[in-house]
Amino acid sequence: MPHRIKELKLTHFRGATQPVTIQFDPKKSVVVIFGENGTGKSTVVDAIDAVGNASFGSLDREGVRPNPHKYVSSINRTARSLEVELTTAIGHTWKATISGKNVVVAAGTDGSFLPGILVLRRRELLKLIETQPAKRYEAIKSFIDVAEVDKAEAALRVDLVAVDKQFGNAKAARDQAQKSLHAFWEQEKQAHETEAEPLGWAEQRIAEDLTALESQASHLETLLSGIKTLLTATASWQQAHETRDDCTLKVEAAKAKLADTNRSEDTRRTDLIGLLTSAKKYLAPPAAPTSCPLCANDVQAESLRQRIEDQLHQLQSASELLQLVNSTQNSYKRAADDCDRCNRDVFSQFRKLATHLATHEPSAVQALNINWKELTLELLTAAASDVISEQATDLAQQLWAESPVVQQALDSLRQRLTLHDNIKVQADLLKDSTKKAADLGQVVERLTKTCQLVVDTRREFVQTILDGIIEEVNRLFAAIHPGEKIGLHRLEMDDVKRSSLEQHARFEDASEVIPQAYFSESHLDTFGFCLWLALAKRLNPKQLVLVLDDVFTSVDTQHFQRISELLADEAQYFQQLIIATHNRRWHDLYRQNSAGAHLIKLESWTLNKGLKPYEDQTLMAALADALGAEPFDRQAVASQAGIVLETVLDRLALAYGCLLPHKHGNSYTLGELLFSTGKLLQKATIIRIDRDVHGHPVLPNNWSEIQLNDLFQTINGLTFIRNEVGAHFSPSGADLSNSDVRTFGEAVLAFAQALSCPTCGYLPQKERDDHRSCRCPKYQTQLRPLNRP
Amino acid sequence: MSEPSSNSPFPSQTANAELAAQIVAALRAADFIGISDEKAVAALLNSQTVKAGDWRSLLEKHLIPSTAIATDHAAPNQGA
Repeated sequence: MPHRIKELKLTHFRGATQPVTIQFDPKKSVVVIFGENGTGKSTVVDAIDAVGNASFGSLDREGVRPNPHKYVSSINRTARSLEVELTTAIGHTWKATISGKNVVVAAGTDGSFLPGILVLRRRELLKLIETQPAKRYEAIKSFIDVAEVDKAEAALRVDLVAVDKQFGNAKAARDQAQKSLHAFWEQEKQAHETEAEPLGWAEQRIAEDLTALESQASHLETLLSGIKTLLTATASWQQAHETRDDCTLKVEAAKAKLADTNRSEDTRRTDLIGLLTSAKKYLAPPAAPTSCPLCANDVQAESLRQRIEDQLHQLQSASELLQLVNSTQNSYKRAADDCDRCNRDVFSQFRKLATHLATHEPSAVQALNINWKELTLELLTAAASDVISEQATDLAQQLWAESPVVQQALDSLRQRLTLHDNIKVQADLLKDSTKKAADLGQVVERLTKTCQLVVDTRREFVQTILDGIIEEVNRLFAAIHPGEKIGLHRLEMDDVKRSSLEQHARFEDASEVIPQAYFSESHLDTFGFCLWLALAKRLNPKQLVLVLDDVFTSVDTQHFQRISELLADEAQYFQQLIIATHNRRWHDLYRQNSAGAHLIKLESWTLNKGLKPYEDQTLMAALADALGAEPFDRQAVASQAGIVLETVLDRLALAYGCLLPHKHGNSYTLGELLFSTGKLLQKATIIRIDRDVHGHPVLPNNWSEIQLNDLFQTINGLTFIRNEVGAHFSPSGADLSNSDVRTFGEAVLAFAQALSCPTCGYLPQKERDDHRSCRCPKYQTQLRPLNRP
Repeated sequence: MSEPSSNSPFPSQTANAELAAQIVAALRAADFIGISDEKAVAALLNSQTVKAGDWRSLLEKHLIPSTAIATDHAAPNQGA
């Protein structure tokens, strides 16, 4: 297995206050890390999790979030100095460091492969057996992760809601238009209109030609406008007329006054003023002539001008009257011009109105009894004049008197036209909204069906996975709880709450019970574990490293034994299995049996030294070490050999059901165990394939047989050594030589090694057709006979 | 449980793609989408960035018969 974890280096990571390196035996599929509470097991597991999943591991939880990065480095160390380096069996390295708030993982070299690392902690195990279905789903979600489909499904629902809303709006608009049109229909439908429904009626109405009505309305509007314009023009003309008359009077008055003045003083006076004024202008600079234009005598222009000024001053009164006459004459001229302009304007408007009425005379005007055509002809040859303006003023007044009737006729026409427009608008709206509602209805239906189809397919997909898991969960569960009428019956997604996992268990004869209500604490633990293991196997197990962090708290020795055996069987499917436990009973089970497990022990943690990992040994390895130690420790060998012998015989007696006296705690003596297994061992034979020094089967395959009777006899004759040398104070023990003790130790070791599979480390206990076998997937070590003689 | 890492052999991507393929096949069998839409729908079901309106435009397109015929190369009598 090239991707097993071989080495883990921790630098200032959590409990690793000092840099520490932990070696894993890559030849072993199972690694057991034992340590009492507070020795740093979680630090090791979190370190593996950090590299494998860029995760803060056990720190990623309530109370620590959202700042686990603050607590992941060792006390008094900064995150910058933290590093975890993981090396796999083929030498690929991966490093985890902290960057900002995240764990960052980088490969040591390009192309490095990191196995998938799946960590199960106690709190995650509890989620799997949580009473709340939503939390259970959350716990298994990552195993059946269809996150992108979930997102697409959510987007589909958003679209459905949005289109459904538009559909609702379109229907409301359609209903409103229908209602409005119906109201029009009820109010406006005429007796001769035969259409039985509003839209048909509206379409008939819309089809009507309203050109004549529109033209009629336009003529009336022109007439009313013409009347108003003519009225304004005649009013202006009257005003101008009055102003001109007033100016005439003023001119006459001014002239009369001037005439009176001239008569009373000097008839030549006015002429003189005129002459002097002209002379003054003539003498004005810059011309300043030097001679008289009449007599050609020399003149002094300046002095002459001064004299003229003096004379004019004396004649001022007459001058002012003359100016008044001029001014009033100018005003008259302007008024007369204005009057002419008004006459022309009135004439123009009058002719325009008469022409319009000659061709479009409404009935309201007919009552005036005017021949508009004749009048038009007259006006063609006439010119603007006060007479015409007077005539126009008179007619304008008559027409104005009739304008309310014209206005009424126009209003009536406009009402009909507006009604027509409104009917058209509502009919168009009804048709548009009906089509839009129909189109949107189709889209809603399609989205609804699609949504249902996506949901159904997803449920079926997930359910298929869950159904597949059930069988495996039950198989695993039965291995831990053989012969018990208990197991998983059904796993299913909740129909309503989509992120919800329902669990139904079998308990005795009931098949639909809630496990949380019927299972014991221990059963729930193992049930959750089996569910997790089955889910993990659904992944790509050959590329997975499983890590169990102190997951069992309520399991007894017997079940630990079965769990160990189960894990030994299941380990073959995975790259590696790492178990961290504080449970000494479980740890001892591995020490007793397992050549297939690499044992690591964590000693007490201290701030100064940090983590203290040590290689741990199986009992057989400890015996082998004791036999090889120098100087020879006879007591250690005798004692260790006794423990190994008791362990092996106890397991053998249990497997074969050998007869033993009933005792409290099943604490049998070595003698009792030897006696009960004696008959079996006299006939027992081990058959196993020959292997090379690396443990690989030798080709061509050759199977060797080991008769256990000789070893048994040797041991049976030397068992007193365990008591006399290894266990008790006994003077007679002193008479025994080291050679005797060594012989006993070596015989026990050979006996245990013969019975234990060199690959998986287990005694052949699994019942086969005619023998018992170990837990290896192939080339199993066989033990015969199958049953106790 | 830890979330699967990006380079790990967790088949979550595979599971999603597998389910997406099943959904596409079901939509196609129901004639909700055309052959030419299959890729677009599969992309939508495997996308991290699906937007509101994506589904509507895909499905609406297929609701218009002329488009469906054009995109599916269906025989004239198979058109809506």
